Amino acid sequence: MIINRHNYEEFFILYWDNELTADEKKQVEVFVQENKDLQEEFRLFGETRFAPEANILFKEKELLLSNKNSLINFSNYPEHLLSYIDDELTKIERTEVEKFVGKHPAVQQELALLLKTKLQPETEIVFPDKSVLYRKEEKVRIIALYWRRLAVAAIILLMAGLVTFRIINNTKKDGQPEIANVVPPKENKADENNPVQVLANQDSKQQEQKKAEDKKIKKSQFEKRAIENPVVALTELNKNNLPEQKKTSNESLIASTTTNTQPDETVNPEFKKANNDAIAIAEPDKKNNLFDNSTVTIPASPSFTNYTPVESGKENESKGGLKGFLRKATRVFEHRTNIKTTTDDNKLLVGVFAVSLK
Amino acid sequence: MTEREYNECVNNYSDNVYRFILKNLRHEEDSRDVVQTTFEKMWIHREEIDATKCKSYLFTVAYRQMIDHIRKIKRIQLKDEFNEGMKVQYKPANNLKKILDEALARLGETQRTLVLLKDYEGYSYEEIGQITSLSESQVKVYLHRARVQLKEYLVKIENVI
Repeated sequence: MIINRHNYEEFFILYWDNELTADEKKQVEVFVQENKDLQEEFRLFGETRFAPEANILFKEKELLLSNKNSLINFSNYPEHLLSYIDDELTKIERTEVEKFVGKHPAVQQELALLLKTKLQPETEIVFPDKSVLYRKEEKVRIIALYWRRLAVAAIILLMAGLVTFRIINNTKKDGQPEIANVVPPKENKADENNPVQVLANQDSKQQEQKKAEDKKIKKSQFEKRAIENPVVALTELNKNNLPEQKKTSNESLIASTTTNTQPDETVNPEFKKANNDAIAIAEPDKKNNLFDNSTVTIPASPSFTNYTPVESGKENESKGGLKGFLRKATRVFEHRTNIKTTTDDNKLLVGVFAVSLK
Repeated sequence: MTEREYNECVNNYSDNVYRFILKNLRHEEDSRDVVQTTFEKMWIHREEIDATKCKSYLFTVAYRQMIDHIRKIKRIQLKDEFNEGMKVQYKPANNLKKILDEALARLGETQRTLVLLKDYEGYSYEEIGQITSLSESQVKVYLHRARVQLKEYLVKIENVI
């Protein structure tokens, strides 16, 4: 390539950069001599070159030196720094990192910045109303009910009660001479020649007669009470479901009063008229002198004297009990009121107002 | 776990769990609901839980409840996330704390959880992995990335200031 005034700048730069051959350098020198106005420009291009400063030196050559034996180096120190912050290093690793950081201030600054990113627990934040979170177990007492055992025990007790009840009933029945009433007719026919049995038959017959008489007395007493205390009589009769007996009781009473020749001094003569009137007994008889200026001692309670009569069907069972009870009742009444309620024949007078003259 | 041990857990760890959830959700009422649900679950399964491991159980359940809650909110929420209802309830007074709080809010859910579990409760990488169902190496990587992000935000703010 030939140097001319259109391309000389490139040749000047190549000349001072030592990029030209010897022949090309001679061509540039001849051109500069031939064109003296370009000599100053050629010289200025030569002064733009720099020389290296010897005083500028790299002091941390050791950082550039590669050391395969060390744990931490500039290629892996960020990871170690982060693990150091998270307390995930062993004691040896921690000492190595601390040494490394101590040697390099840049790394130390970086570590300080990372430590600032570590959050501190804000203890002022608390859960409000912890009472909502508390729990309490519901203690359920489990009572073991052995149903089978209870059932068996209940059955045993029931059976025992039934057995004892039957035993008691049987003992009561054995004490009553019912069997004697049934058996004698057959026995009389079969054993007429046996004197012992004949006597037994006679005794049984006497007992039967006594029973019949007792029945009659009871009936009469019951009928009297029914008239004198109509309320009690009505209730009792209703229980017995025998409303017709009221009338029959009146009739029987009349019959009994007529047949009963025993004088009743304490009986009010008007009482007989009021047999059919249920209210008559309740009304005090003012005409009766017994009530004038005297204390009236009415029987303690009508119901007390007018004891609920026992049904005929049950007379055999409570025969002794009823009489005994009546006896007791009369004794108590007489003791308290000093009124004699029995006749000389030891018959209880019912429905009588007696006034004590004392 | 007995009734007494359960109530002791309430006294010891209810604040910690609440703090962790609140910093994540940044909503007081939702955080309270999550905490209540967490303790209720622990009460239901108390017979299967060892009293010595109740803290890790609490944080595991709370974390899962929080994730479910966040997903549910994302499905329901139609407005932009930067609305007034999502204001920070607790603003630290310290400047650095405030900056850190802002930086924490910029992190992703997982990264934020890891940073809180690490700094607030001091769990190891392994324990954090058990709570969040991540491997130890995953926890390490996510946590380191979170730290770098927090550091860069601090530097940025300092440069601006």
